[in-house]
Amino acid sequence: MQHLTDEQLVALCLEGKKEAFNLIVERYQKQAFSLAYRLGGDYDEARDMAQEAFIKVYSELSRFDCQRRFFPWFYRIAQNTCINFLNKKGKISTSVDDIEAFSDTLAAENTPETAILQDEAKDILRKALLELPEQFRDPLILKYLQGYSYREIAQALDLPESTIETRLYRGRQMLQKKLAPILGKEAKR
Amino acid sequence: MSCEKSKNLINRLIDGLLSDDEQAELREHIASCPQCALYLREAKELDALLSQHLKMVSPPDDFVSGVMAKLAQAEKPAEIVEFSSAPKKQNLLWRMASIAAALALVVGGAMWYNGQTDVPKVPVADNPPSVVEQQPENPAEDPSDNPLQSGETPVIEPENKKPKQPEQKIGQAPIAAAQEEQYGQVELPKVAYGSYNNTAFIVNRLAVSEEVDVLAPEAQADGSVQYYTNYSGEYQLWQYDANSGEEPQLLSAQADLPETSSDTTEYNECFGGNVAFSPDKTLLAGSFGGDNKGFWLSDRSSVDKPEKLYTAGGGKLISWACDSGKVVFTDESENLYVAFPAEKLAVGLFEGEVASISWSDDSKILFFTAKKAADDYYALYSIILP
Repeated sequence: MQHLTDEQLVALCLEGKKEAFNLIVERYQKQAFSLAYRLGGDYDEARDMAQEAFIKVYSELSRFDCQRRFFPWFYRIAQNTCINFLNKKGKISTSVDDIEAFSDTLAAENTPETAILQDEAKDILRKALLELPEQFRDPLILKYLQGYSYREIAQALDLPESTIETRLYRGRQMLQKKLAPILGKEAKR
Repeated sequence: MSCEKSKNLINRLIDGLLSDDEQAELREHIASCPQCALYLREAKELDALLSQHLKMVSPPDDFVSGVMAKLAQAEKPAEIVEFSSAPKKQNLLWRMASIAAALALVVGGAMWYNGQTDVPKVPVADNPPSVVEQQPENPAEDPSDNPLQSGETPVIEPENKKPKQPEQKIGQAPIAAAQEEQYGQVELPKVAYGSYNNTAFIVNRLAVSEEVDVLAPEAQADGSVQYYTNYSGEYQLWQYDANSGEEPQLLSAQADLPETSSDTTEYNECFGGNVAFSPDKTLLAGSFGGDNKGFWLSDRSSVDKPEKLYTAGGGKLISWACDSGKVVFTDESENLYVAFPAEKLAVGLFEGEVASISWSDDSKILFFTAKKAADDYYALYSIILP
């Protein structure tokens, strides 16, 4: 069964073959878990979110259009599950104050940035990513997390490459603007 | 070279896609433009931060077995106790018969809206917007007597339709485009509108943009609505009064998005779905997917089991109107429906992904944000309900 495509595995799942779904989980566990961890920032929570995403995918399998590719559909459900989860926990809110407070801390420190401060930077980036509209967040996550090329992102999201380029550009611009207080710090001093 | 082109090239440079000529051109511009030089430095830092932060992480060893165990557990019928009980068919049919005329009208008359046109789209067979699971058999309700049951869904041209205005583009300054646009209407059964003169839902698109999402509407006591847009990572707060005929007012160019994006009350999650108590606490509405898929209603003063009022359900939203007389809910694709508990009726309202909802204080106007396709931006709509 290992050699079967995702879409063939889905068809087997719909016939009641659970081992086929087991294979799908094996195939995409790392992607789902990484996505959940990078969006939520907590290891245990990431496991819960990613597992919930697979349960959701399983319950929705009958709605999957077998003429289309499985991964984009799966990815969309996984991401929505994570975002709903984080929304309910009130974890999606970065205020400008957070960034400014962090920026002031950096400015006050003349010592090299500590690991703790780097973690804070990551946390701010994580929240800023969550706040991006999904059409700009998706290409960034596929590019950096999955290591996809423009062409692969375009295929995964079923969009032209030119649109992916524009969205990466816009997404980065938005992040750059949001994170301006902590970017280019040295240059501004 | 303009700074805009330079920034575009910097984006491609980060991804290693610049030709030698383009690199030389960019270098020349940056040498004479401190802003773009700073932009390049920040872009590189952001790229490094993203590369460092967005790395694959290995899940725990028992991840796959955990999923499969949860799956097996979730499939046990005992997981869903209260709502898995089938409604009493006899009781349901009796109640159905008492509103047979209404149901007949709903079956023929309710329509979905296609946001791309002003003409309501005919409902698709596999996604019926009507309430009935079983059609009441009543000879008095001969379909041929009813023009709405002739098999063709009537196309209703909205009266006093406003001419379509060009969509307002978003520029560098945050601007919320206002575009009141009547989308058409859905005929209501008489039982739903009672003595009101309105016999149809009027769907208006109030604000839309090609560039930004419209978010978190909140109905105001004076009949206007406040909403947010998100431009370049900052939220702008707007107010729009559809009755004033004036453009939307920008209240704040840098606002904080409220924590909750809908006014859904007593919103809980259980049994794999969502439930919400009516504001007067007499009714409990539940929207479920899976084996119990559908919209259920429970009268808290009665010992009767919950009734399944509609075949679709399982979405994220349930929101009661303030008067407890109607409740809107979404299905798994977040299409929007309204249910009238007293009449045991539900009707499809809007086909599209609905994100957030706000009722006016008088329970007559429903504001919601939604998009018609995955690639669209969320727009603001309103529906006047009797």
